[in-house]
Amino acid sequence: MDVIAGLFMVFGAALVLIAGIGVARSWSIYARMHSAAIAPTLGVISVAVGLALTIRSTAAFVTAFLVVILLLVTGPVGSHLLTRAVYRQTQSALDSVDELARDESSG
Amino acid sequence: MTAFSAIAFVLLVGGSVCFLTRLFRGPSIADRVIALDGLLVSVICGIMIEVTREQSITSLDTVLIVALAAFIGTSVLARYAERRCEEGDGN
Amino acid sequence: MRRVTLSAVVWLTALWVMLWNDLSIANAASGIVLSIVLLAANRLPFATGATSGSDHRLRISPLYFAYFIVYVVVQLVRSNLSLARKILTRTNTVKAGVIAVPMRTSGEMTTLVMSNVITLTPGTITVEAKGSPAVLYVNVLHLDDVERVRSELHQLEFVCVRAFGSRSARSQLQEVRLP
Repeated sequence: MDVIAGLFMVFGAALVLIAGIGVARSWSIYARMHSAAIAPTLGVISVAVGLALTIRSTAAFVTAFLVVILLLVTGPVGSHLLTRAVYRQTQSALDSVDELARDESSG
Repeated sequence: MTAFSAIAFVLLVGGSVCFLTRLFRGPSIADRVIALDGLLVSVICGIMIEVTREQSITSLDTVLIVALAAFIGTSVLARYAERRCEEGDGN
Repeated sequence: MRRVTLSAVVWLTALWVMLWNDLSIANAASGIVLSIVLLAANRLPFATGATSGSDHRLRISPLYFAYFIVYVVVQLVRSNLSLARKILTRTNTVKAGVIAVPMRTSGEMTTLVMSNVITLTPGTITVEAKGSPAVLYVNVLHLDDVERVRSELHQLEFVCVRAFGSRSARSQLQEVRLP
């Protein structure tokens, strides 16, 4: 059981490292924003699962569950606000379709 | 157990260095906000791994506070970046 | 006072008791009092859901709600792993774009939950939501096929409405899927 918990924690830490690599190496602001979003979701979930499997007490499980719920609820709000700020500023950074600009200019 | 947590700590340090790089280099405010959020997530994961090493959950309430601080900081800085862009500069 | 509903008070009291890590009468009582005070004094905008007329009231079906939770968790894990693989292998070939996804049902709670779930899964972020019935503007990284992403998001809307849609939303969904 401790081996499985250790593997979960290493997996979570590896996901945080991959998110960091994505943020440090990407050239587009949108790529950095999406890469940084995988750390608080799957990274923290994996480490919390590892924590709950190691310390099998109710208090640890409840606090880890609360942390995960808090991050999953407040993460999207921050991402949405940042994306709106970036979108209003650099509309030419999108290299594919942009239907919001089309709808705003027409209607 | 200690081998797994040691490997996890090394990986977390690597991730923090990557986020720090973006914090220094990022050309706009949004890049730095993303890097700060990533640093705080590294801190959260680090505290959780430390709790499994020490086998005592007294420092686990710190994680809640750090998660709240990350959310509030990101939201306030995002609103600041949006308003600063409207006034012209944006960088 | 219309936001002081039983489910909201129960949920907030449960959160309060979990924060204290101690299930006692004093904690539960103070949690109930605090949640009622906070809910009554709140001035934030309110999505129509549990306290509207009978045609717009949310109807939660337990089986489909469990399927919705499982669907969201599976999508979360899948999109995280696929983005992680793309970070490691496919570097600097991003094709980001913003696509418009018109909703087929007009529930406000459904739009709220959908835009949160879309932003939660990495790879898609909701940028804007306008109009009624709402049109979601979704920023997609690695946008290869617009119609495929749109049909995936319509599938998500179908799962949401089946889980907790109101009666009018479910009937609208029936009309859309029948022809």
